[in-house]
Amino acid sequence: MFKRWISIVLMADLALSPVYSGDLFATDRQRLAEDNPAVFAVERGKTLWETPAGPNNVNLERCDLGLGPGVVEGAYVALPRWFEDAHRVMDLEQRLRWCQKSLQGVVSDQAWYGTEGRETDLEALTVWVASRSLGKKLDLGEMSAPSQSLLGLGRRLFYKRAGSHDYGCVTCHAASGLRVRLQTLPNLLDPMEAGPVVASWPAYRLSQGQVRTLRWRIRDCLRQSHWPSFKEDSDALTALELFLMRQADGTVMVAPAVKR
Amino acid sequence: MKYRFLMFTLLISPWLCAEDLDQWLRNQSNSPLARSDQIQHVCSTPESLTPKQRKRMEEDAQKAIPIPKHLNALGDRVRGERLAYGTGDHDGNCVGCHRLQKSDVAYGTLGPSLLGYGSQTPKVDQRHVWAHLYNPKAFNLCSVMPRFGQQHILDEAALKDLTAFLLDDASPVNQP
Repeated sequence: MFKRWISIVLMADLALSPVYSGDLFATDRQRLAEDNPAVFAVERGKTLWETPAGPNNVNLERCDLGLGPGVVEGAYVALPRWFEDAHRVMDLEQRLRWCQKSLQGVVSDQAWYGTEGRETDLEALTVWVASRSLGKKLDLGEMSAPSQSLLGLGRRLFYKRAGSHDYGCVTCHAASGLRVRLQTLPNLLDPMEAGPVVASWPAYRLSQGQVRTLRWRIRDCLRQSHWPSFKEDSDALTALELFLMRQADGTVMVAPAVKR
Repeated sequence: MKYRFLMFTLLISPWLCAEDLDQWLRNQSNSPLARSDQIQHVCSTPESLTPKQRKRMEEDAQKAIPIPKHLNALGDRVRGERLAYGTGDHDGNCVGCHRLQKSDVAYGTLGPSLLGYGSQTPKVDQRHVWAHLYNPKAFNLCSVMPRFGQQHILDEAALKDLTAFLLDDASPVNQP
């Protein structure tokens, strides 16, 4: 009885304390991360990568993610990047789809992102490839000219205010220590805060009951800002992703993490 | 002559830049992103704004606020409270950014706390509150607060009810 009373007082104290400034759910997330359900998606992604599929009945082991055909180790940390063969700056998801089309001959347009509790093949593949960069530093290196100009657009997009509510990324993510309701908002203009956030995606998202990617998260963020829904393949999403990757440059990858 | 042309180009350059970003975004979303209006344009690059421009735009916006003539009685503060905590498309979701009453726990901190907003002296004019909810940008051009009235998020009656929620002595906002 006494113990329960103590814990209630402690919880109330934490929630109401005016000097409280950290992330209220940090400890819960840490506990969950010890048994991260994302391992199932990682396993499935690996199988998908190795199993022949599509009309051409080949696997993805000749897919070039930027470090040469079939090199998965450390590929995630240098994406999005310019691909000469596709003539486009692509992130991991766009590149995987490009490989599915050009190598496997896949023509049908599968959904990019799953609904609650379900993950798509693309999400499984993405989380698997990203998991092979665990412990490596995010490093875009010498950026190509097209990447640099897309980065510039991404930066401008970050500051853009639009939609019915005049919101933009900058509304919530340009200052430290702010909250929407109880949710702490990272200041993405500060590399010290952007780093840990960016390096933890793709992640197992509790509220989705499945793994989701950074691209998905950016898209969902724009939805919450009352912007129209962006096409999954749009360059605008890649531009913002590139901007965030640049902000997080040098951070050690911890993905897949567990998110609220 | 050359100088005047240069000045003109410099003056409209933020506009031109914003235009080409809109152009670039045009086909990237499933439904079109509405053309940015002037306030959204200038507040996407607020550093290019001079204090004089800012003041002029705020004054223009103030003149355009249609304060209702019959705004003499307060609205329904109970409905106002519902709007302040609601998260639907036509709710205020004020608590997302502001602390509204003592018992609030899950309140945001993007905006200032509104505890005791209606019990300040001198008392805040309800016409001012209504106008501020209608278009906060008329008082602070690049405020993060949405233009609830002007952008048709909330209608005239809803703004009046929220005003009552903020100012009524009996409202939970104003309880010590």
